[in-house]
This record gives sequence, C-alpha cells and structure tokens, in this order.
Amino acid sequence: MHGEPTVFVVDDDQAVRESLARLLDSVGLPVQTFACAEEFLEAYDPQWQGCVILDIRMPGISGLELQETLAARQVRLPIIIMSAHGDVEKAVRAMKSGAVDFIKKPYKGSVLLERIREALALDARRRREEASRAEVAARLARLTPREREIMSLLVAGKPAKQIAFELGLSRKTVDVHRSHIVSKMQVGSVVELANLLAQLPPEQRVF
Amino acid sequence: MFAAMYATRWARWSWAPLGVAVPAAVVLVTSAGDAGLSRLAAAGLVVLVGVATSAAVFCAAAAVSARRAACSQARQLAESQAWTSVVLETAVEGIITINEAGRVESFNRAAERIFGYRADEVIGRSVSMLMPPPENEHHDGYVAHYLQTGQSKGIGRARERQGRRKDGTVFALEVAVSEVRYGDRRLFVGICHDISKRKAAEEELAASRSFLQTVIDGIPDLVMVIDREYRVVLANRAVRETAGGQDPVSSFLRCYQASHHCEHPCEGQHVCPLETVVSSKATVTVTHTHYDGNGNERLMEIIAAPILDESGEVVQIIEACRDVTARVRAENQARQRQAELAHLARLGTMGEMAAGLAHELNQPLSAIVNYTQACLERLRAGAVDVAGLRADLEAAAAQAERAGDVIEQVRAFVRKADPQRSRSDLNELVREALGLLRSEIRQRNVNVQLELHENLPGVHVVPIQIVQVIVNLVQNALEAMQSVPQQRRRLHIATANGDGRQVVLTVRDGGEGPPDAALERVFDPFFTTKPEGMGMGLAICRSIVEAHGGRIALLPAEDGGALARFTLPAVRGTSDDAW
Repeated sequence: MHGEPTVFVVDDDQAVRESLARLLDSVGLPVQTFACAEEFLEAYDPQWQGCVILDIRMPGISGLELQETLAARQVRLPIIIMSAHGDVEKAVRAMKSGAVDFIKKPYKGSVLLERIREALALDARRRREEASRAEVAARLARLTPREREIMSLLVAGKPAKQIAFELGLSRKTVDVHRSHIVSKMQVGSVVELANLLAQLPPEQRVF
Repeated sequence: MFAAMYATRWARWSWAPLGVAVPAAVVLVTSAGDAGLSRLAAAGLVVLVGVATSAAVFCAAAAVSARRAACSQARQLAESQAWTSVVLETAVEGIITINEAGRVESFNRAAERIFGYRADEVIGRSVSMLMPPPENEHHDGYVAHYLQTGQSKGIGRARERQGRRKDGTVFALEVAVSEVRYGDRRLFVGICHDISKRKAAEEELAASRSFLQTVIDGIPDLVMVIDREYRVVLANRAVRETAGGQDPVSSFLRCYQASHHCEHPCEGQHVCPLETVVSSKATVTVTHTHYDGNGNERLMEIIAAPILDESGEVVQIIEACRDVTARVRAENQARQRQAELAHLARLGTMGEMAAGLAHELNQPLSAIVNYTQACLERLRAGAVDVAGLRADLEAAAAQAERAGDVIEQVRAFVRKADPQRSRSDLNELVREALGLLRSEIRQRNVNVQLELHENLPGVHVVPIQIVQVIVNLVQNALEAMQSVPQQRRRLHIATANGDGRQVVLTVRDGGEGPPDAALERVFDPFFTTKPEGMGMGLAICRSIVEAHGGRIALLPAEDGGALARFTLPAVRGTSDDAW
C-alpha cells in the first residue's frame, strides 16, 4: 500500500475516525486511522504518500505537537489540521510550522473532501518535482567539472566565443563541451537546459 | 331516691379535684319525735350514707325489719330506736330533721361537726339559725309557703346553699331535702354536705385557670391546647383575635375549623401536627399556610408539643403558631439573590469551558457530516449498497443524539433555574459535572480516579448549584496540574458517608499543592492566585455549600497536591427511600 496515496487520520474520537474512514472510502480513497499521535508515529513509514488529517485537541501528544514533530523529522506529507472555533492561536502556530491546511469544525463534507484532494494533489506534485529534481541531479552528476563550468556560463547567457575567451579555450573546444552537456542533460537546447536547472532549489544551483 | 341522689352526686364529684369524701350531714325533719323516728325505721325508710358504713347500716336495717315479726312490740320499738340512732350517729353526712314549724327535731353528730353546735343547742329552735342572712329571714316563709301551696324549689333536689356555723362563719353547703308524710304529719329530712373545701378547690382551680389564661393571653404567638379529638380546649387572645373575636373553646371548635375553616383534619401538604405528635410523642415543627382577614396568605410555623398522661400516652398537644411570613419571604429573597449570583458564576464557568464544550459538540457534528457526505458520495457514484448506506445513516443518527446530549448538559448548566431544592444523589451530581468537563479532562491528559460510595444517603439540594461547585473544584484541580509531568496528573474524586448525618465529597489533585498563605483566604471573594482569575469561583462555592448547611475546605493533600472537601447534610433514610 506504500505505493498508493493514502489519507492518514489521527483523531482520538472513535466516531470521528470511523466516519472519516467511511467518507474517504465512499470516494475511493485509501484510508488508515490512528487513535493517537503516538500510534501514528510508531507506524510511520517514510515511504508513505498521501496526506494526514489531525485533530488539534487530543490527549497525550496533541495534534499541534505531532505536526511539529513531523516537521522536525522532515516528513513531507501535507497535513490538514482540524480545529474547533476558539483555537485560532494554535491554528496560526500550526500554519507557521508548515501545516498546509486548516479546517474549522464543523465543516461541510464537500469542503473537507476538496481540501483532502488538494492535499493529495500537492503531495503528488511535490513527489513529481522531487523525482524530477533527482533526475536532473543524476544527469548533472554525469558532467565533468569542466562541463559544469561551461554549463554555468552557458545558462548565465554567455556566448560561446566569450566563454572560450574567458576560459582560454578554443571556440571549437567549447562547442564540443556544449554538445556533450546538451546530450548528457537530455535537452534540445541551452534554453531548455536553463529551464530544467530552474526547477532545482537554489542551493543545488551551484555547479 | 337517696341512692339515686348519691349516684348523681358521686358522679359529679368524680371530676372534682379533691377526690375525697366531704363530710356530710343528713337532716331528718319530723314532727313526731323519737317515736316517729322509730316508726320511720319500721316503715323501712333507710337512709344510706356515703361511704362504707352505709352498706353495713343498710344490711343491719334490713335485718331489723326481717326479724320484726318474731319480736315483741316493745322490744321491736327499742331495737328500732337503737338502730335508727346508730344510723344517724354514724352517718358521715349531716342529717337534720325539722317539723312543719321549721323547728329542728334531730341533729346528728356529723351535723354537729359541720355547724359547730351541739345538738341540744339546736333542737327545738328554728333551723334558720343555721343560715346566714338574708336566707335565715326567708326560710320560715318558704316552709309555710310550701305547706300552703305544695310548691317548693328545694324539696327533692340537691342544692348548693350557704350555711352559718356557730362561730358565725359562712360556708358552702350542699343540701338535699326530702319530705316524709307520716299520718297527718309532715316532716322534712335534710342531708347536708360541707362543700367548702370543694368550693375552695374549685375557686383555686378557676383562679389558676384564669392565671394560665392571663399568661398565655400575653403571648403574641397563637397558643392552643388541642385534645385527641381535635377539640380546642384552651386558646389565647391571639387565637381569638385571629378568629375575629370568636373563642374556639367556648364555641367548641375543632382545630381545623378554627385555623383553616375546614371541616376535616389537615392532610397532604399541611401535615397535621396532632397526628404527628401523637405518633411520634415528640415536639414537631410544621409550616402551614393560613389566610388573614384580608385573604392574604400567611405562613405559620407551628410548634406542637405533646402533653402526656401518667402512662405516657399523648392526651393533648400544645401548639404555638408563629407568623413567619416576613422571615420566610426574607429567606426566599436571600436564596433568590444567591441563586442569581450562582447563575452569573455558572455563566462565567461556562465561558471558561466553552472551548472544551465546543470540541465536545464538534466531534459528533463532524461525524454526522462525514457519515452523511459519505452517503451522498455513494449515491452520486450510483452505489446500491443499501446496507452500507443504512449503517452510515444509523451512525449519523446516533451522533446527532450525542450532540443533543451535550447541548442538554450545557443548557441545564446555564439555565437560570429556580433555586428549588430536591432530594438528589451526590454521585449522580459528580457524574454530571464530569460530563461537562470530559473534553477538558481529556485534553489536559488527566487520569481520573472515581471512588463513589455506594448507598450514599441523599442530599436535599439545588442540584445544579452543587454540580457548579463540583465543576469549580475539578477545574481548579485541572489547572493546578497544568505544569506537572504527565504521571502526576491524577484527579481523585471520592464521595463518602459521614456517620450517616452528612455526605462528604473530596477532590484531590496531583499539582503543586496550595501555598500555605492561600489556604486561609482561598474562599474569600476576590482572592485569587491565577493571573486571569476573578477570585469569585471558590467564594461562590462556599456560599452555595453553606447555604445548603454544609462546609467547604481546601487542604494540602498527603501526596503534595491539594484536597478540596465539602460536606452536605444527609437526608434521612437510604437513597431508595421515598421519604
């Protein structure tokens, strides 16, 4: 089941847990429920994908504490915090520490489903981006240091002639490196290459 | 005839306070002298006199007449005279005979004792010498009038007259006069009782009754003595004034007629004090509603005490009724004000519980939304899983009920209830309070230990106010444990039976314990150790508990936390009683 996106429900109220499971089941979404934060942390697998729904008020580790714990552990599952009126401060704290969404009880069923789908979509998109970043990084890893050097100048918009001049190389040598770079990075042009590298987080853009 | 007369007299005396035989005299009035007397005896006229001797005399006289035929005339005469003499001289009542002229013909020994004259000082003289003026002047006239007309007020009946002794003192006397005809002669026999002692006792009784009446008339409360038949036998002026001047004693009213203008004894809400006192033989206090002259309701507090006879049975009760309308009204007002204050405090408490209660309500509402949305999604997808739909809808309905229960709890707590007391079970009130705090307790991760005593006596309380006190104490306990480690967050709530006269509730927390300085003042208004507290919570708790006749205290617990404890008076019987 690690393969398919799942909604992970953490709520100490049995009726809420069961009803959420029924709701998610009705729209064909896989669901897994936990009666407390401890139970969830114990079962957690980094392979999980999907999203987490948490009640902010729970005995033991509260929803807020769980969310902070997950953030600290770099768990990237989107988290929807459910809260009653009067928990605004806590909600703000949750959002600041990275919860993706906040839904106030009582809510409309359709709204909850929409938010869940958004969270799942976000997770999917993140995973796609991550996968694509990983792919780009793998392609970058195949470049030689000289190729990386030339690539950074290329994507900075410098013409081959100037690069050859700056690096003390012949124009022809630069052109050969450029064709290797385009080939290794699996792009059709330098413009495409620039777009591909823009997906990387800034810290990975140092070549 | 004499026997009948005596019977009547003794019957009347039976109620006399002295209860001893009063010396009496019988007057035999004759115009025939000794011979006449003997003939009287021979004719079988027997005078019976009072006490034991009379029976013996009677038998003796009967024996005389039986033997008469066998004796000679002379002997017969002598014996008759002797017996008659014995009868007269041993009689305890004064016996005087007078003739048609009103002259005394015989005067027995008892008569001598009563009047202080020797027989020889009186015989042959007018009987009027034994009477005080003006009676003495008229007596001869009465006799003459009777002889002439046959009409008399005195003959044949016992009458109360006055006598005069030799020393001139006048005294009360009861005289029965009968006439005896003998041939053409008529004589009058008078039997005299000296009733001066009885009269004195009667007067003393009347005086003491009058004294008693004067005393109770001076009491502003209504005082009545009532017998077992509900008859008012004594009542004071306040009673008469309340009844518009009518005296229930002389009007022979029953208590319910006098107090309630009702034709049957009190029942139902008006507990009958007489019946209660008769069955309990103890002083009881009841409250009745009477109506004054303007038709206004007056609340009367009636204290009724038994009057017992020698065998310990209740023969009468004495009731003192006090108009407590003003006092009760003031008490009600105070209770009302206290209830209003308590209500305001509950609203404040409810505010503090709002977040927890919102959560408590949101859980079932969220579940309902989830279940029904699940049904909608299945229907939209064209599902025909009827069993699944039904299960979800049933679950949603159950959650709706759960939400309703939460609302009912909240509503009951904030309702501005009439401070009506009812018999309640403290354990039930504890559960009610914990129901309101369930979410709070769960949120704070507190472990609750309940130790509720079974068969706890009931308490007579305004239930919501006691719930309020428990909620306050538990809230304080929860707050006290806010910053202690999880394993110390233990809330211990216990109820106990305090020697059958009171019930006890304790709330113990695992917090840091109250600071010593706070212990003394923690129940004072506006005293608080919390930065955001008003300092009214425990002050109101104390006012509620004390208004119910209980006590409240906060103590350091043995294991370091705080122990809040309150008592309430137990009502009689076990909780199953319908008392």
